[in-house]
Amino acid sequence: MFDKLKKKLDGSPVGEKVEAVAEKAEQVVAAAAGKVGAADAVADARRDTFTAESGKPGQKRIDKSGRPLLTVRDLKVHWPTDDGVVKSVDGLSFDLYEGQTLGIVGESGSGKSVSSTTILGLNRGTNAQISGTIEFDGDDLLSITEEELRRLRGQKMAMIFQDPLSALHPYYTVGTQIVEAYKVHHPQASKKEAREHTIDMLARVGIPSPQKRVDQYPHEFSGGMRQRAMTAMALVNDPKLLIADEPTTALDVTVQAQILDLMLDLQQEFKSAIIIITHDLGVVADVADDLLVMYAGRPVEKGDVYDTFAKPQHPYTVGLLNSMPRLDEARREQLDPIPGNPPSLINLPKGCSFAPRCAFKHLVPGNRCDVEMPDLYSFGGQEARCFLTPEQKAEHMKPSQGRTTDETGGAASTQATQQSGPAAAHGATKLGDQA
Amino acid sequence: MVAYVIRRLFSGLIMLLMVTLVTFVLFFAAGKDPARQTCGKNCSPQLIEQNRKALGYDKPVVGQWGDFVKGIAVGREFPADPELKKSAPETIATCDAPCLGYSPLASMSVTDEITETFPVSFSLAIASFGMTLVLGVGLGIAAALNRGNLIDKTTVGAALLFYSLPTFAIGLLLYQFVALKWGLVEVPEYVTIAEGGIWGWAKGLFLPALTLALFTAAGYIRMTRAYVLETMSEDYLRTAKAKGLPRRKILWKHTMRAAVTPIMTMAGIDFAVLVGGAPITETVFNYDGLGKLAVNSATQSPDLPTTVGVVLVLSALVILANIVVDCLYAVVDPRVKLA
Repeated sequence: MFDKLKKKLDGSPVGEKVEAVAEKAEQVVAAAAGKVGAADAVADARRDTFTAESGKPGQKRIDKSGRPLLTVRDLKVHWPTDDGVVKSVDGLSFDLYEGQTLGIVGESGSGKSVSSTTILGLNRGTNAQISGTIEFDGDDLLSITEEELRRLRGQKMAMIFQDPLSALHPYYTVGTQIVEAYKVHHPQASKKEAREHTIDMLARVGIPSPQKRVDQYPHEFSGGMRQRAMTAMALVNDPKLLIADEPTTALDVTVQAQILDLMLDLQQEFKSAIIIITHDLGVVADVADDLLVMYAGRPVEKGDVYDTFAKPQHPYTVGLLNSMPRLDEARREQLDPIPGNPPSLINLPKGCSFAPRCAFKHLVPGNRCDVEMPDLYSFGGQEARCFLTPEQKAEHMKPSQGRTTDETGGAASTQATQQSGPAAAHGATKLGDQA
Repeated sequence: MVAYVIRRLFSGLIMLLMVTLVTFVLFFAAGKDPARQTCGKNCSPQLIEQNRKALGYDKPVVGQWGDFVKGIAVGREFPADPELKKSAPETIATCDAPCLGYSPLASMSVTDEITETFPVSFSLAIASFGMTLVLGVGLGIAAALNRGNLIDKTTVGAALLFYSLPTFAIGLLLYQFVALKWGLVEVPEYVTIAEGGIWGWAKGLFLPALTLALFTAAGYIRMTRAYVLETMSEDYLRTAKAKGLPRRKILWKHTMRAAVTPIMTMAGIDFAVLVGGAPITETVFNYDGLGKLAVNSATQSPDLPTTVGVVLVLSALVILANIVVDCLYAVVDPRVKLA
């Protein structure tokens, strides 16, 4: 699995490799210092692979000239309940191109999962009120018939669910379930072909002795193997769009890295677009090209992952970054959590939904944050739903202003962070070297 | 699997032995003199003593229990007197294995009583259970799929109605109107398959089976509805939908496979209970079945040997049903390992 990446590594300029080695050495030192290492071979390999192609480290080139594969405009998913209307998703818009990876982050209940299941049409037939447009590869997903949508599901767009133990049927073998996913979109395929394809797929996601494993039940698989099987099932029809809903949440860190590695590897192979939903910023730093931060059902910040980590434009994003342990700076005594709780989706605050928790709203004159909902304003290449001016942000909103044990060290590393982007802001921890 | 079944059968046997012991203790705790019941109005103390000796009631309790268990295994003779057998073999009544004792009320062996009534009850149980599963599971699925709408509410409401109506009321109403007044079906009577063929057998069973089924199906409707709804909210059904499977396949292959397992468990044991548990229906339709036999033996004129025999047979059925259900469970659910 890693051979391909290694080959690519060999092809990259010598200077990049040196940098990679140096970085790795740093991480090893950090790990030796008693902290859990933030080293992540996937991110490293990716960075090394793509740096030569584009200007920024950690960036691969995505062709954004043509029509996007997926266009979501003003998507709203509202659930009427006895207590009022729950606005799970309230005005979500984004574009996704072939080969692009979009990370959607946010707290629980911010509408991440609901938006993805809505794209797949899994909320049809419930009492959800869905409006807006979702255009996928020439189809308007909200207006096509259920049968047309069913033909797309699993074939052109597939989903990896979190917690594969409950997402796989306990009474059928892993093979049966993958064969079924293949056969439903390839009715002309014989049983033997489907089975061979399944075994091939299991081998590709790195399941050892797939000939034997194909006839086992999900409960006979370990957590990581189950997630691989789930991934194999999602990829069995070479989907153009892959939605991964917290694909690594239930996994330990080593397996987590392997699964992410696998997804990227397969993305290169199939040129798929990926939406990765997570509340783990480390995962986003690893795999995503672009980042969408959701809060209370609305996108609050959108932008390139590198820029967003370096210069977050929304106080919520700053809060998310600050509440994450970091290794590239002196150890903080305490993390900076965001005070308060997410608002009720039934009774959203008037004005900016983040205002009650925002540390910077006093900077905006005339209580504007409490009475008026900000639009998504453009700040350079990023967009953020915030009234603060770029000058105010530059002055007040620096990531990681946490209490440090060593003030000078802390200040120095804060600056360092702003330059080093996703790699440094990477919070996912991983034990051992995967590359 | 085979080793498991053998082990379970063995432990089942031990359990049955315990059942005989308990029923035997009850037999004596009833406070009736079993020998007194062996002769009617023209009874003399000599006759009682003679019968007491002939039926073995003169022995201590433990000895009698031993005789009873031995009778089941190898058969018995009344009276168990080797000398008498030599001198006057014609005075000895033999009771072949499995001998469950002698019923003075019916003047026949309990085994014969049970072999006569068992087919009636078993037929009734099969017929009514077939109907229960079709009605209960079918309507339960329909209710679950139409959750919250008129079909669901009507089905669940009807289930509640039939569940709360006593069996004798349903039975008598059906008997009176469907069979007698409107003549839609023939007046039900038990016809063996040998006499009337499958059709005759089924026709004779229709009304009593329906009576029982209306009551038991009500429970199955509610249970099936609940299990199907529960399964439909499982993550793996969302996965099935996300794979692009058609509705039909999601329902029959993915939902039902998981929902049917607990229903199957209930059904196995319910069936065993139903064989002996329909005395009211049997009485209403005048079927000479096990349930009626058991109730009569315990109430009309206490006939303790029959009570003990029937209880034993029904316990054996329930134990057997449990073993069958456990084995089936392992076949249906791959996560279950028999050990």
